[in-house]
Amino acid sequence: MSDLAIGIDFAVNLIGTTHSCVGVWQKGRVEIIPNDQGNRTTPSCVSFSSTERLVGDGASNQASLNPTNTQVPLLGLLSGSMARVFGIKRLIGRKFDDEEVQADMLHWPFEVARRGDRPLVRVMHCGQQKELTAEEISSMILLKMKETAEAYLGAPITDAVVTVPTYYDNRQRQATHDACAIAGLRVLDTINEATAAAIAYGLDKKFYKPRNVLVFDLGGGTFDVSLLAIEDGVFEVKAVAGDTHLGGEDFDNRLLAHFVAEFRRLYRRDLSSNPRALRRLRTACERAKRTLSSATKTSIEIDSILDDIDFYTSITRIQFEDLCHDLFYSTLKSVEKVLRDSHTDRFDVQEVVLVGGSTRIPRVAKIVSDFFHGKEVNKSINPDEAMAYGAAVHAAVLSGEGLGKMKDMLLLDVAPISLGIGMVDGTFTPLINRNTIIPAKRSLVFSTHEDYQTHMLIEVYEGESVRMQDNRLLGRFQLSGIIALPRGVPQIEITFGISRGGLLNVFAMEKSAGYTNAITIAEDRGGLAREEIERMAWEAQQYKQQESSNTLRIASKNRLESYVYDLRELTATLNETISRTVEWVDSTERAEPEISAEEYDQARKDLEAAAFMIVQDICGLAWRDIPRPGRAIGDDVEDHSGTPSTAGTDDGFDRRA
Amino acid sequence: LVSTALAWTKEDYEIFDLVGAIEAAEGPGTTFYSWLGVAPTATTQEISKAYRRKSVALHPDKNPGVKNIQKRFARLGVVAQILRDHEGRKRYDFFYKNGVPKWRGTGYYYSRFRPGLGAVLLFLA
Repeated sequence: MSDLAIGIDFAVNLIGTTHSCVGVWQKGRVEIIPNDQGNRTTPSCVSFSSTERLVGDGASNQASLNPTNTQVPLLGLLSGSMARVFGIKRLIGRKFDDEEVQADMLHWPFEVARRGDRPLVRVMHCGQQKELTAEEISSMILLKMKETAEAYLGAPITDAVVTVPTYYDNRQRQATHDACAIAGLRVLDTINEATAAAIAYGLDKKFYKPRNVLVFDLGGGTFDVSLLAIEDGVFEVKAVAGDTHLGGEDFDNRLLAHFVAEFRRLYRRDLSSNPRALRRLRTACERAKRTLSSATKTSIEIDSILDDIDFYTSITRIQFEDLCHDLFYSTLKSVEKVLRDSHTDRFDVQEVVLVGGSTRIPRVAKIVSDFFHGKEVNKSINPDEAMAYGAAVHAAVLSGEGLGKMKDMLLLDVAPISLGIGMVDGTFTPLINRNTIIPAKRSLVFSTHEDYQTHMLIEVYEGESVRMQDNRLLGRFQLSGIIALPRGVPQIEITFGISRGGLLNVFAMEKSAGYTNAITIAEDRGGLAREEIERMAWEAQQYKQQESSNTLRIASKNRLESYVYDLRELTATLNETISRTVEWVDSTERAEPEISAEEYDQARKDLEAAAFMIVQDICGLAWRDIPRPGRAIGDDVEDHSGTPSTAGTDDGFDRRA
Repeated sequence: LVSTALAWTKEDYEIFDLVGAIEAAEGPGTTFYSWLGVAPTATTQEISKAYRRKSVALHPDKNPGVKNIQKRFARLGVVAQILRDHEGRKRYDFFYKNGVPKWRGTGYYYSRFRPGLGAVLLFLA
């Protein structure tokens, strides 16, 4: 129905919490779409309770109310009433045993279960325990963004460009695709966050000389650096680097640890075993961190944090900077890597653009500026909306919507991590080197290592180490039917193709025999199977139906109630009029001067008029609240006997005549 | 230990293949430079600029549904990568001046046109 494609920034990173944002290209410009609460960004937050599921603003309101208003420990979800699921972006596309997941679990206020090697979030919903994958929870947020856009544009939306952290690996990208599929969105492309920010920065500027722009994106949970060359509307990514596990949440964790230690020193009590206290302290830490971006000192005051102990303390900006000192400096490693990979001198970088909420921390901006010899850093673009803006532009280019204005706009993105195969001697041979422009394709010829070998296991890895074990295994497959020949003789050609969105295809062929075997890494690396996606999409529909049937139920109940009360009031008025007339008639029995026929007639006419008015009101009531189908029936009536409200009138007049 | 003068490396083979593929796809006589539309003396900046211009014309996003566009674009990426790299460009310039060798070594042919069992039997018979 609509050719519009939206750009979704899935989790904009504000300090402390992550937000998502959706934009659309319309009438030659990008519009950021406000949600049903009128906010331009929506918290990437889902909450479950015994009666309902909330997504977005509602959920985040719950979360801020929860620690103070609920007596139930937050982490004890099984006994608790509410779980706020956040930081989901860090869980997506990860395995349960990954170090990062294990480390993060300690900080999350929800419980992480495992099925196979996948981490699952365990929640209590409507009295049932549910285990949800990160993809499912992400899809709830994506669906919310989709609905926001649909409500605003008044048309169904199926196509979208979704941002991903630049340094996401193949599995995490695939998981994002899966989440979109569950939400019923077709992904035109995924775009790297830093690239999207660069588009927002450079779209309306005309550069006649190529300009090297370094985008430094330190958000709530992820950190990316990209170096782009922008020239005549072509955005060429020259190199990327980053850390999918560095951001505002880590600074919060440092603060939290600091205060837990302080509390232990002061009161000899351990806070870390009390989830509810931790949750309250974390909220306070987030707030303190934000305050320290503008103030040099802030205080933390939490009443009755543990039993009846009130925790009042303070922290200075210097202290905070000392706590996170190493984290701040670790960002420079990625900046150096980007410059090295792209053979660019730091003096050749014309512009340094800061995006992401955590770049509001003065120290971070200072470190970056110092690294570029005191260069003024650019903070001009809106860190909350820039990525949705860039994604919307890319969506417009891909859907052909913005062809007129953006004929010359082109995005040349790169693969962030080297991809290759593992060799028999335990080394790793990359086929696609990092920072190769995508889409890309490369073949290399390999051979067997044993005489008369007919089967071969091909293992696909990603990473930068020459040692196979240090890299991440993406998938493995078997090539069989190799002609039995002495070792080193068979020619096996392995082709790696990276499509748009950074997804990998691997293809192996025994050249002489022509046996081929192909895998799309999507299907063989712990991602969701097609049936699983379908089931989850179906469940998402169920949630939606449940929610909409809830809304419908409440609306119907309200309509009935108001009708009943109005009707009762009107019948009461009618009864009152009737009994007044009856009383009058009774009183005329004993009246001295006889009442004339005209007077009775007059009384009857008055009563008729009053009754008629009330009956008319009752008819009006009946027509008022009926939804569309009822209106259509009414229109039918109109064709035969005038308007519905006069149908009753005719009746009254007939009797009177 | 002496290595023979005519031992081409993996990178050389990649260039040979690329030269052949580009001539086949973009017309005979097309060189890396003429494809990009720059002089063989062009600076790296000029090559980058030409590459960006060319990629607007060849990017799959701009040519939805055009046959072989993915392959051509991927090739363009490799060409740019070779020419922008100092070492790679020197290597290509050698072949650009002297021509791609007609005889590329037995290993090259063996890895590409290794006869199947049938052909061998036919040859022996």
